[in-house]
Amino acid sequence: MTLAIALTPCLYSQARAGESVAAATPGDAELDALDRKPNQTPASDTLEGGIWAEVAKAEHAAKTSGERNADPALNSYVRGVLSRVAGPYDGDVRLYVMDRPFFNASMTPTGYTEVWTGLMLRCETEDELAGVLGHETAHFRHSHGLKQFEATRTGQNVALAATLVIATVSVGATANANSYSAMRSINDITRGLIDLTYLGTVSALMSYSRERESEADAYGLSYARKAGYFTGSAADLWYEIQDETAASDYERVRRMGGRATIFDSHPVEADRIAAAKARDAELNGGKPSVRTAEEQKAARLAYRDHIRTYLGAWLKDDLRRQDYGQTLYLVNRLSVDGQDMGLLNFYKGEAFRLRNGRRAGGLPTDMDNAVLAYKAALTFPDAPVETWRQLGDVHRHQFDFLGAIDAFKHYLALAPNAEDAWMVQDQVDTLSKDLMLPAATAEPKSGAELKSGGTK
Amino acid sequence: MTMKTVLKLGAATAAAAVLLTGCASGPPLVPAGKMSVASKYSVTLDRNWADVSKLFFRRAPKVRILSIDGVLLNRLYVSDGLTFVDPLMVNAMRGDTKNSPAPRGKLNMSLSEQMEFVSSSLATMDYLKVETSNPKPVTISGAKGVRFEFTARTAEGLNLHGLAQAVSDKGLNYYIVYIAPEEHYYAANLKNVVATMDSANLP
Repeated sequence: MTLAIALTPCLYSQARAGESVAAATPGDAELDALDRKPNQTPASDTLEGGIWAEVAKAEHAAKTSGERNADPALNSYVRGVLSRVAGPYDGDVRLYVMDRPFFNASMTPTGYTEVWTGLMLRCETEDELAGVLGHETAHFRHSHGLKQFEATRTGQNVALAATLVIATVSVGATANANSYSAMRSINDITRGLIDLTYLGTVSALMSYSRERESEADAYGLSYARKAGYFTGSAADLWYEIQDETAASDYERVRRMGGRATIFDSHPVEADRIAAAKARDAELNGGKPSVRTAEEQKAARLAYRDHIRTYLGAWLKDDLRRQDYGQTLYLVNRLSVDGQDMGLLNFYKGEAFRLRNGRRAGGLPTDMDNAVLAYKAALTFPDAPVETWRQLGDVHRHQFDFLGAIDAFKHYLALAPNAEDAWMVQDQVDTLSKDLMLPAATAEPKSGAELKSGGTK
Repeated sequence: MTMKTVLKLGAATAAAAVLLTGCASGPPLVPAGKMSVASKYSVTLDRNWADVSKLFFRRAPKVRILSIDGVLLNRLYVSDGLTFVDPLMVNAMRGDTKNSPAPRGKLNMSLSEQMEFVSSSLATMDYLKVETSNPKPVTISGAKGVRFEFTARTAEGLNLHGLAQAVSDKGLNYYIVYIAPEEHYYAANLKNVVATMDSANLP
């Protein structure tokens, strides 16, 4: 049976129907057996009160962070998704969208929630975003952080308890380590550093046991479904993260497989994926939720409409991780519906150009691929004008000076008042002089010529 | 007073003495006047600076780092001629390793690529949202170059402002990069920085 959820924009209205289905789902009664009630706050002289006070310091750092995204439209959109998933706990959670190019979201026991833009870039649909937020909300609603603290404090794991305590009191000290390079380390480089410093308190409180992760998975799907979201593709995001990890430029990252991301404490394993599928079926009356390809595409397009404005900035940020293999994988994924192809091919070209690798055996080099990507971008109206300048630079490095001059002239024609126009003009003059070309021969080729055969 | 107490006090005094000695030595002064960077390349400083290079446990070997008020308040990177194998900036925490490479330039970089190289180098130093602007042509010792501004932000939200200069000559790239908090500090020493950039004397 196809689940009656077709288009993301229609989800909210269809959620009403979905709620009745979900309400009859076996196991849903567990949802009421919560450890936390809406608007519940601890007394200040309790253990929980002390933890709240410490976490408040981390939240203050997030509020004033240079990475906090201040875009009202984006914050409003994510807040809307979170509100739906949080349901009656909406008033307890506080959202901070952070400009960080990594796949991550977190929610502390106090309701302080971070959603990183790298997560939003990697979600294909709003349903996937809701699934992640549902997972985090489950940790919050079931006080997993506090339980973890209590469990470790009672001696089950002395070392972890000590870590929790140390992290809890060292938020201020670790705030500086919450840096770009530290975050970059999540995916590749100095993983040891990030384990020690990543958001201090938050990191420690998010290091849940496997049992609690499974619980959060199950409840999270329930919350997402109750909010009207499609839960049949919950496992897809995990598969995509695994594949992106495998596409890394760094052998160390590839070797780490599904554990190479911030979801280290959320291992992507077959039994967990199977559990997600089983939970979806359970919530759907015993049958897996399914969508047609058209319905899934419509959901992707609807989500893209929400994030399109930010795509360029997020991809530019992603390039700063310097894991170009992963960026290329991501760009290819984002290209699946043929949307935003000028912009996406531009960033594909950028990833190849910046990686600048050489291939043996006559295979195309990264620079060859960059040229192909830039040219592909230029066949779409949304290609940034800088595509011409970058194409010119790559041609110049390939000693295709005529091609370079042609591309630079296109850039100058389209952006005569650009701040860097004088630099590009200087390149045209220098290359023309080197080739001893009269200026007249350096007229740019037409777009049609480019489409049919490039500049060579 | 027991012997144990005496020993403890003695150890504490010795430790304090070591620390105070460390404080007193501080980073070496670089007096106003000609400063030789290396390989017959020099700049002329119009005021005293401190060479804070050694405060960075890991740093780019061909780059000197100067400051007036401290590394968090103003920094001036003055590089020797760099090739495509030389980094401009190295993250002091992560260093420059196979799995954590500091950004490198390319052979035969254009001026815009050199701006990009400075930008990516700043990003590796944990500066966020690095944006370049206002590139202007400069000629240093007869070589063409570019001088441009940039803005950035720290993770804590402090806005930074910078000025950088990149000049290429005989296959080598010479960089001078100034960065300071946008409020007060950037403007406070800008004229000293511009004087230093103007004075660059390539080999």
